[in-house]
Amino acid sequence: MKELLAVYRTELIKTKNSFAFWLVILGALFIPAFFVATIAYHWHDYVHYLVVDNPNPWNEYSRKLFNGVHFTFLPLLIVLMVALVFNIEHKSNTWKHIFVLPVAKTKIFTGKYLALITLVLLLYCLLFTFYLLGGYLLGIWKPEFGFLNYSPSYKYRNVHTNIVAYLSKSFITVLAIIAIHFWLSFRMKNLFSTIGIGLGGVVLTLGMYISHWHSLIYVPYGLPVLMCNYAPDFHHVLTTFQKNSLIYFSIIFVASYFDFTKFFRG
Amino acid sequence: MQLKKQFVIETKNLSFGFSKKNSTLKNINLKVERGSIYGFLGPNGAGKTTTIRLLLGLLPDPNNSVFLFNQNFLQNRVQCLSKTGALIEQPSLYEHLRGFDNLEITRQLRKIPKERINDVLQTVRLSEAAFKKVKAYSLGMKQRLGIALALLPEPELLILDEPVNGLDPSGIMEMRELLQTINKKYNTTIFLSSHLISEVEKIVTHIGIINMGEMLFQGTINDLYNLKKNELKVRIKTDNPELAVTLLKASYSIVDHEDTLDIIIQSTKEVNDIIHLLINNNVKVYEAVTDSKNLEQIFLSMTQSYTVS
Repeated sequence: MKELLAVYRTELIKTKNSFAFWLVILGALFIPAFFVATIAYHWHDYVHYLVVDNPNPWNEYSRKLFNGVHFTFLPLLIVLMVALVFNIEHKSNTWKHIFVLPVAKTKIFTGKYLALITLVLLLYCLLFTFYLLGGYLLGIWKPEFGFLNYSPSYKYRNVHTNIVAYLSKSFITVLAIIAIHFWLSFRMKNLFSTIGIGLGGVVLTLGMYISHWHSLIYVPYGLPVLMCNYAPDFHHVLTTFQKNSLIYFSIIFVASYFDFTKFFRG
Repeated sequence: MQLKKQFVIETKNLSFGFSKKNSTLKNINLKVERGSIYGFLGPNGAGKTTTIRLLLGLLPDPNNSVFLFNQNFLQNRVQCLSKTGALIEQPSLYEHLRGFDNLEITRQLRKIPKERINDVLQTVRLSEAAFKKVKAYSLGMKQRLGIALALLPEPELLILDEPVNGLDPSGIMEMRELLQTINKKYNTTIFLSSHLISEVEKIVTHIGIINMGEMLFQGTINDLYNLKKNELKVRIKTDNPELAVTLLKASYSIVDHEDTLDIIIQSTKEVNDIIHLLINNNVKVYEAVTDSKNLEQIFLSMTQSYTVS
C-alpha cells in the first residue's frame, strides 16, 4: 500500500507545470466563464429568460451551463486530458526509466489510474466551484436575477436533481472514455492519434445525437452528451447509459491492465 | 584453492530477434565480474542497446537467460532492479520539472532517504542547478542528472548505455572521472556500452566486443592486447613497390597501398632483414616505420574484418 501511495504521489508531482494540469483548470473555467459573460452581456434578455415560469434562476442557469459542458466539450476535454497525462511519459522518454525501477507493474498501472481519476475529480470540483461562483457573481452584480434569494438547483421537465448527484452521475458517464483513452494513450506514442480517435468518436456522437438515434446509449463518447437535459430515473439509482459506462469501464480496465502488466514495455 | 568468480551480470546463450527470421543477438554469454568497469563495445547497430534492454527486462527474454547478482532476472525482477541503477540511451528526464523534482520522483519510488538527493547532486556537481527546470540544462548537465538518477539507490551495479554520447571532450573527461570515482569509492560494478573504444579505454578494466549480434571477444584489456600483440607491422616506402612485393610475399603478409607497403611482422628484428633483402635486390628504401596496433585499431580490425558465420 505504501508503494502504491508513493507511485500515486509521484504521478501527481509529474503533472506539476504540465499542460494536463493547466487544461484541468482552464477546462473547468471555460464554459462557466463563457456562459456568465454571455449572461452579463445580454443581461436584459436573461433576466426575463432565467426567471420566466421559474422564480429560481439557478434551475435554468444550471441546465444551460451543464448542457454546454456535456455537449461534446466534456468528452473532448477528457480525451485531451488523458492524452496529455500520458504524453508526459512519451515526450520525456521515461517509460524505460519507470520500468527499470524496482516497482511492480501493477502498482505503476494503479497509481497512474488513481492520479488520472484525481485530475478528473479535480476538474469536476473546479467546475462546480466556477458554476457556483458564476451564479453568485451574477446575483451580486444584478440582484434582479435573484441568484442570492434561492439555493443552487437543477430542474428539467419539473424534475429536480441534486447538483452533486448530477455531477456524480456525469462523472460515471466519462469513465468509459477514460478507460478507452487510458489504454490507447499508453499504447500510442503519437498524441494526435489518440486525440484523432476521440474526435472521431465525438463526431459520430454528434451525428447520432442530432438524428435522435437511440443506440447512442451504447457509444462511449455519447454517454456524457446524454447528461444534457437530464432527468433522473426514479426507479433506479443509475439510468441505462450510466450503467453502460460502468460496464465499458470495467471490461476495458481489466483488458488494459492485462496488456500493461504482461506486454507493455514502454 | 581458487575462489569462484562472482559475476554481477551473467547471460547464458542470450538470443533475441525482433522477428522470427532475423536474430539480432546470437548466443551472447556475458560475464561481468564484481567491482569491474566493463566496456561493452561494438559499432552502431551491433546489438548493444538490445542486450542492455534484455538485461533490464525492457525486451522479452523467453529463455530466461539473464542472471543478475546470481539470480534469474525474470524470477527476481524487483529484487535485481533494487540493486541496479541504469541509464539507457539519452537520459529519461521530465523536462518541465526541476532537476530536484526528477530526483524526488525516483527517490520516492525507490524508498530512499531524502538526504541522498543532496549526496548525488554533489557527486555529479549539479547542486547549484538543482532547482532549475531541466529544459534549461545543457546536454552534459542532463547526462549528469541521468547518472545522478542511476546513482540514487547506491547501486551495486550501474548499467550505462552510451553515457558519453553527444558530450564534448571536456564532458567526456568529466564523465570518465565521475565513473572512476564511483567505481573506486563505492566498489560499484559499471557496465557501459560505447561504439568508440577511445572514449572508454582509459577507464575500463574489462572489455566485451560485439558485432552483428555475436560476441567477438570478452576479457580484460590485457587479454585483448595479448590476443593481438603479434600484429606488428612495418610500413615501408620504396622506389619499386612491385618488385618489393614479389620479393617479400613468400615470407610476409603484405597490404599494398600503391606508394607504401604494410608488412605484417612478428618482431621488430625482422625490419632489418626486410630492408637488407630489398637493398640487396636494388630496391631503394626511403622510409620504414614500425607500428603496433593500439586498442582502437584492434577494435576496428575485429569489427571490420568480421563476417557473419
